[in-house]
Amino acid sequence: MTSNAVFIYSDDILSYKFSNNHPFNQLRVQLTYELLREFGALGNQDIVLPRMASDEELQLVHDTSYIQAVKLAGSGELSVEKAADFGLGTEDTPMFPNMHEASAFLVGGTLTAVDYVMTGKAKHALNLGGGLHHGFRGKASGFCIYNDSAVAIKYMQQKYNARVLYVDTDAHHGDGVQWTFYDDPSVCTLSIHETGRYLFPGTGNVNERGHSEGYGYSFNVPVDAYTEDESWLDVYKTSLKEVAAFFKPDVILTQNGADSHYYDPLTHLCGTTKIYREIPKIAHEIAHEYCQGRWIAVGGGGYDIWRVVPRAWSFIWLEMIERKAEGMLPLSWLEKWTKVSPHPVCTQWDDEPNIYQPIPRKPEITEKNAQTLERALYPIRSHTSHS
Amino acid sequence: MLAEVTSLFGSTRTNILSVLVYPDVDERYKILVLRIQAINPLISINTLKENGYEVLWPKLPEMT
Repeated sequence: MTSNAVFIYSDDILSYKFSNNHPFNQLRVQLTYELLREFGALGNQDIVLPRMASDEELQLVHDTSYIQAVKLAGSGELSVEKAADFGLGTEDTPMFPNMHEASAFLVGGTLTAVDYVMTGKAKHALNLGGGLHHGFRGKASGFCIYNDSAVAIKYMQQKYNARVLYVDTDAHHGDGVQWTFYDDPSVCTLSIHETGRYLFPGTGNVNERGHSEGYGYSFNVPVDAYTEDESWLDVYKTSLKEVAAFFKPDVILTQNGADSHYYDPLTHLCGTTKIYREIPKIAHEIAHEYCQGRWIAVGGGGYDIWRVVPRAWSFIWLEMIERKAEGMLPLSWLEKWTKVSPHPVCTQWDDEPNIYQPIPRKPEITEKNAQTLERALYPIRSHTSHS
Repeated sequence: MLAEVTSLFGSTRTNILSVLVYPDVDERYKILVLRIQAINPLISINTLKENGYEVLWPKLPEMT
């Protein structure tokens, strides 16, 4: 039987934890899960348990020596000097007990999602524990150890011979996934992120288009700091529609970092819940238009775990099951988490208007983003107009 | 001294990619623009503040 969508979840994903005060906090996945449960949109029949990725699966992307280093780090046997060579033991990506198992578990969750969708057991699958797009072949970076999305794409290529469109709406450039497939024309990556001029990881320029045979299959739309909903959505909708029409994927994998919101403490964009309602909506449309519905969604960044992430990520699931949500959040959820949250949580599904002061440079930012979009899509548009 | 500022980043094992030095209106001070390799700048911002430096941007958000 085909279900419309499955939700990959287990409390065990909380084991991916650097420290108590580290900004990357998987409690946000539990907050989202409980919000959906309390809202009555997520039942036992929707839940699928993640599995752990095997070493062979991790090796689809990662070096054996790196996996070995992560294992040693997880048992406290990796020296600080050696760890530095693998991007481990930094303030961003500290070593923690059993980090190999915790990281392989997140990858396995995304592979579980892939198998459900690619075998036709579900049209859509959501693994909010995944989306760790900064992981490199031999190096941890930006809170990410293993790159679940890159492993999942390789896995889909090998097991299902699929053409994959990867869409990354995290505020940070999806560098790990882009570089993994930079010379591969059977994978198309589209990343919309805050410009790397003032933000990690600094890459994702519009002229990064791929290499060798993969040239023309990497798309980057870096938007200006302080970009607001309207301009961001214009960039997202236009680029996704045109890139999908150009590439004609078999399946789409969306990375749903929820850190482009105004409240996010690590970035400088001015998105609101409006963009988080639209992101899954357009992805859903594209999945049905080109991929017979095949759509895998993963999480990603998102560092305001109380006000932003639970609502933003709930919208993905609600879109997958085509359920509407408006007005107040469930009282039971608010009552439970208001006591725990260090700051007042949002009580409504949508942000209030005017949560921030007007941005003085709005016209310039909008114009700049439109120009960047034009440059990013130029190869497709010029090709289409000549053929 | 520039060396004192940069050593603060060394203590947190944060890589500095570039440093630009601008004059301040007050001649006793300089404005430094540092490009550091970190997804989480909050630790560096706090370290600078704790050591008596003023951080012009990014400002710490109201909550973390």
